[in-house]
Amino acid sequence: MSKIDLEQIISIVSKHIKVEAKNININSKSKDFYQWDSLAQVNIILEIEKKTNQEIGANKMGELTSIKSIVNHLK
Amino acid sequence: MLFHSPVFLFLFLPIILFLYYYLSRFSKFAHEYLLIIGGFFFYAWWNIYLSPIIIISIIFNFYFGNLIKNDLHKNYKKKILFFAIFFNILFLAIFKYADFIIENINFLFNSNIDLLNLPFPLAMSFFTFQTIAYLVDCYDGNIKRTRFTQYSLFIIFFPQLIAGPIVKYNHMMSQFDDQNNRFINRQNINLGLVIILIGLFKKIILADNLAIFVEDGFSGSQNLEFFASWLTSLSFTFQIYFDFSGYVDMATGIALLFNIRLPINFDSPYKATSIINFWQKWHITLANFLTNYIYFPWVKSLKKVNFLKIMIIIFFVFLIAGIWHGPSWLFVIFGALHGFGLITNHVYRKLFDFKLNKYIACFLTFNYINLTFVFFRSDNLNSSLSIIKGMLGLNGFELPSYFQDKTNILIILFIALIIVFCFKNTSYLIDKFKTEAKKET
Repeated sequence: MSKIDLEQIISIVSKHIKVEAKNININSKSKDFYQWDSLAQVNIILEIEKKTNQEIGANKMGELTSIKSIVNHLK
Repeated sequence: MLFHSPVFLFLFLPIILFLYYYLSRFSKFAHEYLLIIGGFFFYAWWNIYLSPIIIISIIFNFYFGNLIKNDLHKNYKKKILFFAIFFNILFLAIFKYADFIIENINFLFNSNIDLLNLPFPLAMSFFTFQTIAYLVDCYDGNIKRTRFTQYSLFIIFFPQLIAGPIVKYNHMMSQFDDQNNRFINRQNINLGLVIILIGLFKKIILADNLAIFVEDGFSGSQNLEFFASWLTSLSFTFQIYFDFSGYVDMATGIALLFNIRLPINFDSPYKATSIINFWQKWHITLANFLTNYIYFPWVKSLKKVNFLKIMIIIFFVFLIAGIWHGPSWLFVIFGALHGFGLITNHVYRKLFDFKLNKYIACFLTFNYINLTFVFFRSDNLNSSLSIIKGMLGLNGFELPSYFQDKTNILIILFIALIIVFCFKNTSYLIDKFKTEAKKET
């Protein structure tokens, strides 16, 4: 399983919601960005899975909607 | 028994509320038994002969929920989960969709199968989705131990039984189990009463008055000209919002009287700036259910995910959302139009970086929503198409004569417009009240 740090998570989220990384931080949530919709969520989770070689279940997809929750999940 | 009926407001609710706080002094579980008995009474009031259906559903799903939670092999658990979900959908299909299916079979194969004419049990669509969410959460290990009374209360809690919001077990049970919630909380009582009044205002003053006009417009829709068509469709768009959100406000307020906070179901949906945004604001708990229990698992089940496949899934999820509203092809069209709207939004976001002006986006979204609600409300496709024809001006224009006797409806529509576009949402009021109360303490 590969490790992934906060910066990389922010970079993935930034790429899929098309918001500059400097505007995203550990406290950012999907509700803060209109672009962070269910499609972006799917793409974010799939890319994190790919980067970490760690499968994230469908039941977790709806819960990992903030940077903090993703970080905590991957700990 | 409806929330705005005198028997509920002046008899049922005060008695249950008094007993809730009174009996909680004597027993740890009295509140559970009371709310369960109250819930069954509330449910059976509508039709006592259909109340065994919800009892069967509760017993069956409690049993299967426990079976799923047992330490069994994952494949076996999965099979039980699928069987239980299948049973729930079949149960819903028999009561809600059997005649619709038979009518379509008769139409397609020119057969003559008799309709079953089964009565539709109240709230079945809501408690079926709530139950499926419970079973999946059991499978995922999110729900550990459940007593039968806890599960029964989760399903039968009367404030959210009839029209939602669709609640999750853990969200509700943590509140039911909290000892502090069994003591009178004046702030919650005051806030609950204010929210009930807001809900009553939305339902009785706005929605019910608009409904009279809407009924008139949709029943005579063959001849509606431009202004009449727009007034009819707009009236329904506001009516359904005030009806549904008013009822949910009442549910939220009633639950607060028991110190229970229900999830937000509406967040100023007509201020949405896209269809994606609309479904983040309209019937939020249904959208969450569709996302978490259908859309995500479906996407995850694919071997290879790409944009096209996701768009197809979104479309089918919204067909399900459409038919969930009722056994009619018009609801399917409603769902399809929303699916199409969402796909268009996603394609736009993928291809263009340009963001529309907020007000223009809101105007376009609102009008698209208004159009889809024509199908939602119409009795048949011809009626929908006739209203849309009228809205396009194809049935002519008659401005002065048409508005002569429409002063009342125009005033109500104007108030509705102001409330929807200029006021904050009820959930905002709750948050503000809670924040101020916290500051004071």
